[in-house]
Amino acid sequence: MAGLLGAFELGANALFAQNEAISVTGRNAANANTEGFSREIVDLESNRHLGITVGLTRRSEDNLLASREREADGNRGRATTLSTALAAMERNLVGRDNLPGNIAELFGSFMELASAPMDDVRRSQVISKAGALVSTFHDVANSASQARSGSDARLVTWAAAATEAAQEIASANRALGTSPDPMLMDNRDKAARKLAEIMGGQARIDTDGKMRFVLPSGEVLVDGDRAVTIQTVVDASNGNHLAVRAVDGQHVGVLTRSLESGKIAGEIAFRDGTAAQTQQNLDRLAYDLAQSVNLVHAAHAGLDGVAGRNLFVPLGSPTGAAAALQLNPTLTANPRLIAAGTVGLGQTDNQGAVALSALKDQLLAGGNTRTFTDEAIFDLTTVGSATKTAQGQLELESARSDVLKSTRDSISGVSVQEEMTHLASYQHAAEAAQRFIATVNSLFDSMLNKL
Amino acid sequence: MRVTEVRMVELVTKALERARDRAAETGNVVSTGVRADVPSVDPTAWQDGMRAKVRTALSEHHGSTIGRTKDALAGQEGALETLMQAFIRAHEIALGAANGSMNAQDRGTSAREAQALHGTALVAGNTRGPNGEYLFSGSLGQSQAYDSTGAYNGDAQTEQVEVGEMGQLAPGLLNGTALRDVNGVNVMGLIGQLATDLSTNNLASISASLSRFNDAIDALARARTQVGARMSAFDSADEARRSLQLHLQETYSKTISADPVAAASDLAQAKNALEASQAVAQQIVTITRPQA
Repeated sequence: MAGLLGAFELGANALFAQNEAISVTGRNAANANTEGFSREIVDLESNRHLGITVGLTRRSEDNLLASREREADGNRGRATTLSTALAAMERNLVGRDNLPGNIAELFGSFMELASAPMDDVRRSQVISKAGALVSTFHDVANSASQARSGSDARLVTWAAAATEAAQEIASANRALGTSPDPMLMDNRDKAARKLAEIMGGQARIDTDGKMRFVLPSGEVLVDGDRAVTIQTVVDASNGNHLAVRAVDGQHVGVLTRSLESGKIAGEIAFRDGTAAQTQQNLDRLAYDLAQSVNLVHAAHAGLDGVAGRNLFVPLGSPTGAAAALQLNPTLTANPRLIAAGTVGLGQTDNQGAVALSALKDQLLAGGNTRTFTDEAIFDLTTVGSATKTAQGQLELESARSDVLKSTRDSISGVSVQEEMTHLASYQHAAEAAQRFIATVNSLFDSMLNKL
Repeated sequence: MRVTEVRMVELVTKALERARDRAAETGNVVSTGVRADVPSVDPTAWQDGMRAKVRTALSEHHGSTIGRTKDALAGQEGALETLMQAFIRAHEIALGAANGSMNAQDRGTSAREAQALHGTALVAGNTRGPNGEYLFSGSLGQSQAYDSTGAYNGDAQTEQVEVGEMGQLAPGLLNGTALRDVNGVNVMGLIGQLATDLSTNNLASISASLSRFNDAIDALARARTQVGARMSAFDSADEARRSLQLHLQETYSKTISADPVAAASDLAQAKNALEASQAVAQQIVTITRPQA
């Protein structure tokens, strides 16, 4: 037995332990709304001689769950950017102009010209409808092009954010080497999730307690105290769009094609996938349409009896055709030159207009598999289908993230009511310790007074 | 599973957001009447709806083409009616003049009437359309179909016009070659010739023209029948077009447009869900508020 002096020590230890527990509870309650905070648990250990000792204050966490969360963050990041970018492009392509309708209107105007080849109003209508179609092609080409350059602009932002997150992890690794502060661990986990959301990849804690962040391609983004810089550079081999790379001193790893998840992967999938394909399809459609119309137009004669003129300015190649499409200015200035008739026949011959109108029913688009209007509808529906798929994927990933978030919350989240209960419990224990000390003190006084 | 207050509030906030979005979406459908405004809502339906819309637009153009051609055919029909009346009267004059009871002076008087009828026939043969084109000139619409002697200046071209889907064509206006008799002789000079014969009192030629007038009247009747048949073909095409357009509009309504009853019902459901979410959110906030 340690005697009365030993009892004092017991009481002091108890008071210290409860105060430490109250302090941890207070920190938990204060961070109830802090994103990424893992509640802390103080280990109070019974001790035969000291009564109680305060063990380690540890974070309530599950490394496997954290790993799954990072994976889900990467998948959700990709689905979010892909879905958002696709939905915006779809709205721009479909909302502003009606490409299939304007193609139909051009052929409709040829059809009407066939019923009145000498009618100047019908001829002006052809020019007006062709002009509207040209303008629509410009709009949709612009939308697709802007969608792709918008992705490039966002890539710059994501690259900067990824670099920042990687550096946060590295500096947390450095700091944790000297002090195993739970708050630092929380911050490092938060940065790792942010990095995973942008770049995909996975983090693991090495035996030295430092976090290492690796992409599925094997590229290491954070290794202990070192972090790479994520850069964007102009890629001449990809239409001067941006390539993404990881730079660590002399080592440069090109990531553009190797990223599987994360926001950057979503942007690249959009930019080089659906958006590029859509741009290509629209260019091909504009090229095929201009070529086919020009071929028939040039074979027929205007009201002056002369053949050989094009309705559209001839295009060199399908690349950039939608944006480059232009009406022949000679015809715009003089619609009487629109080739509605046959060479050698009179002005009311309509075989040219009939032949131009007939193009609408021929399978001249989509590699000779679809009509022009069907091809335009198909191209827009393809974007719509991709958007719907991406939205479905986003819903799925969001649901997965939600489940993991709930699981994480059940392990690491702070319940204010729970902490209040703990606080009351620790407060009572502290009061009991105080009373114990007062009692021992009183005994000590009595004993001293009797001496 | 352990659920913290923060998580409870997060979950209820998400539920509230979803309910609000759903209410906004259904409200938008009700107010615009459009269900699938972009393909991603329902790609297959949007595709079908757009196809129907494009076909409807082309059908409208078919309608305009049919209407314009029918107007021109009506112009030809009117001209042929005038020609028919002129030729019947000229035939009557020739019959009277071929009779030996009429003297040279009477024939001279009839010659003036025949000359007037010849003028009327030429005007009818040179009937023009709304754009100044000569209706009976074939492809040479900028040239008068008949000169003062009744000689034909047009060509034998018959223009086809599109009246239905997949490039369905129908012959449009009749050209002047239809106004030839069984021997292939242009009938338009016949009345002018009669006027000359009457003024020169050429009884033999007048008598000989009687059978030619019969042939001419037959030719005009045939031409009128052809115009009537073409008008009828255009009427049938227009009828088919209208029926197709109704079908297309129905397809468009089914695929793109919102069903008002279903949309209103969806809106009511979304509104109820939103109200329920709001009530739950209020309860959760109350429950999770720390008690002093």
